[in-house]
Amino acid sequence: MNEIKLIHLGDQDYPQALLDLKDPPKQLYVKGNLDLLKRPLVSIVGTRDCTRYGLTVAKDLAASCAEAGFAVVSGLAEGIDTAAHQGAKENTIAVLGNGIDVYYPVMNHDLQEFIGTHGLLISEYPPDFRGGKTTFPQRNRIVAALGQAVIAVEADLHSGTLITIRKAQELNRDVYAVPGNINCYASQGTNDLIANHGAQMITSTDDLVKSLTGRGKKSKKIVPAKQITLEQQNILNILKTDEMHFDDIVLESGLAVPQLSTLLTNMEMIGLIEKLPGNYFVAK
Amino acid sequence: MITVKSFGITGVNGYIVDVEVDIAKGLPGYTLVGLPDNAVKEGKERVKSAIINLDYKFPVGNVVINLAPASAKKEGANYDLPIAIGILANTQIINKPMTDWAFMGELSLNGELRRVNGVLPALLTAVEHGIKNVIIPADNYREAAFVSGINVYTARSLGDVVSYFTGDMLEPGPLVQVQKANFDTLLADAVYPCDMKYVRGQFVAKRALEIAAAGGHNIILIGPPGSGKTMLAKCFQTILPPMTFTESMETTKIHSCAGLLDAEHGIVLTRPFRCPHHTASSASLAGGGKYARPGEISLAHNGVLFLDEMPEYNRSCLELLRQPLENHNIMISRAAATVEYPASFVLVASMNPCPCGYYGSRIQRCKCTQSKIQHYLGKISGPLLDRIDLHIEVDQVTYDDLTNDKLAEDSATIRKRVTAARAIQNQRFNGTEIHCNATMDAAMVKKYCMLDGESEKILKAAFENLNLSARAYTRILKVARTIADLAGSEKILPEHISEAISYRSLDRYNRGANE
Ligand SMILES: Nc1ncnc2c1ncn2[C@@H]1O[C@H](COP(=O)(O)OP(=O)(O)OP(=O)(O)O)[C@@H](O)[C@H]1O
Ligand SMILES: [Mg+2]
Ligand SMILES: [Zn+2]
Repeated sequence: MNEIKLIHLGDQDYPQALLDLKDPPKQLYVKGNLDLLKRPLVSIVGTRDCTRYGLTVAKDLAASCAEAGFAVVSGLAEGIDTAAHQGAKENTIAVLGNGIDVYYPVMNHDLQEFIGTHGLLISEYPPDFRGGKTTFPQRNRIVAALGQAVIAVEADLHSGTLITIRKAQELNRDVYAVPGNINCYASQGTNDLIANHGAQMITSTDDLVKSLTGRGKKSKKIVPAKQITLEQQNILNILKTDEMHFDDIVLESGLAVPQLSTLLTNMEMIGLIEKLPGNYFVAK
Repeated sequence: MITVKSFGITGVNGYIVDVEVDIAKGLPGYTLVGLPDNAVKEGKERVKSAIINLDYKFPVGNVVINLAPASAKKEGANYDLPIAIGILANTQIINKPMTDWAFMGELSLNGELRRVNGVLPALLTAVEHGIKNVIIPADNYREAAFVSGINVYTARSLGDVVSYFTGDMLEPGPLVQVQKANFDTLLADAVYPCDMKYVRGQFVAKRALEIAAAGGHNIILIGPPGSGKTMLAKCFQTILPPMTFTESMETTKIHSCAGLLDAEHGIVLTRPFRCPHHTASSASLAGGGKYARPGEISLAHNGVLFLDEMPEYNRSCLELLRQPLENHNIMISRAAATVEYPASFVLVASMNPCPCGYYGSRIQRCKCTQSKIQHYLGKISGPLLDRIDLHIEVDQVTYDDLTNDKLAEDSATIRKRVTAARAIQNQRFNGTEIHCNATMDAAMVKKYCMLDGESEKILKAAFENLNLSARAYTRILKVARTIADLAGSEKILPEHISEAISYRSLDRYNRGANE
């Protein structure tokens, strides 16, 4: 079990990035792996009211960043934050708007525990401080400042995420946004960032990693070609353009239901496709 | 004193009741003893009017009626006829020996016989006790047509019965002797209220229902409003194997006690489909209550219990299902004794994926937060979820699918495959208490669900890569066994395991938020 430590402004461990803030926290309570602060940092943020698409993308981006040597910073909120922390596994820093001993949100109890043990928890508030209306927006300034780059995954036009992004831009951080369906409420803020506010558009995980590190890198574990069977390739072709409902795959592939169920389960297990709620499938 | 035989019911089983009628000299009186409930007591007055309206004299002395054994509570109006016969025998209107006869039936004031509940269990008891002849109301005719080893006569009125006994009794005369019916012929004509062929699309759901029917697995359908969950559930009964005679008798007994048989449908020929509303009380689900009726879960015996919108049900109602899901019966404690009702059913449940109903839908946006969804899913407790083998997600079918019917198979075709798979199971479990894969115990799972190396590998990978929870393990093995049976394969093959894994979506939902 890690102890909570206290770092003061001016201490050696105090993150230099925070000095860019007009109002840097005077002290930080931390718990976990302090070495993460020595890594290059990327912040991944987004709305709590997100879609499945947002969750998947946040998780994938976080995983690729972690694999490329970054630690991923976020705010432990529901939705995009949660997915980002999950994707980064132990390479993650959660900045809290409440004390480190307070579990909030409750549904992330286990995740908070995990990050306090394997990742790093940071808060400018004393351990049993319960948090309030203003402390969560305050926390966002730390998230914005810590990352050398800040990525918005999903945000509607009124999302608090946009405030974090504006803060990041004031601090001269690189700002990225994930484009989305123009009819989807959760992408309207992020699309707007790209179109009108100078955010760089992320077109793939590779693309992001390349841009962050200045070098190319395959981020996905690609199954060697010889392992993909003809049947599997056929399904991948069907799923090339969009996610699809099981029934439609039956009609497209001409396979019988039991065979298709078997095939899809196997493909999901080796990571070729993903099953989405409602019995939809998407190629990875 | 005269003794006339009749029947009482506890739970769904009958017992012999001796109706003793004594008329003593002295002050006029009319009493009924022997733990009667109100309906039985009121019978006294009905009997008196019926006798008087038939122009017979009602005896003037002190009439005492005792229903023995006195320890059991007598319920319902079926003692009217035996009481009337006892009185008329006492007054010498009828003077034939009554030892080989038993009676049941409610009387109207002018002596007509009305249908009563519990005729089938009563007749089965009569056979056990070697009673030769029974008279029942005409409206209960069909119910008696499947009991052999006994002569059953129906009558329209007390007058019919009296004129038979005052005549030479060589011909049934005004009575009608019940002819034995052939179960298999009737079964062949059984009508189902719906058919799978009218359900468009929904390939996975149909396949999963077929598996559920074949192995007796409980199943839950998850999907947004209007996605056809209710429709699919209703069709489930049509793909279950036809009822056997024994099953039909068991279920008919229960429905008979609940008074649910009508004159036309004397016995239950198709598996029952019961769908209690989510506001139903525990008593109406479990049975018991003031009049000791079987509850919905017993009425579903040998058929389907459908809980539409499962999370909406009272927690206590859902918890109450655990015992019957485990033991296939339910015990109801009443003031006098504990009665047992059979309750062996396949549970079909439906639910929305979230409180607003649209989580995962491609048609409308879900407005729920992750924590609200967690809370909603949490309403179904782990132990209950543990007993549901198959989880299926359904979504609304598109217009194209709705207008395209080329793939829709009819229920009869599916039922044939299901029946074949059940035959394999009957052989497998021959000589044991159980009939289908879903009810295998741990030892049987070990014996009949052996996996080869390849299948083991797949199952292990599923737990590692798909966030399956540990409780899924046995469920998957049992379902894979059924899939293999449907395929006529003695061994569980890798493809059967893979398919079984695909029907565990709720495990994964549950983990979704805090994996
Ligand atoms: N696959 C289908 N094929 C044919 N008709 C369908 C199908 N799905 C839905 N329908 C039609 O839509 C109606 C609504 O379906 P149903 O009531 O079964 O949906 P539900 O999922 O139970 O919805 P709710 O959650 O609102 O209870 C049905 O009465 C039926 O007429
Ligand atoms: Mg419905
Ligand atoms: Zn919802």
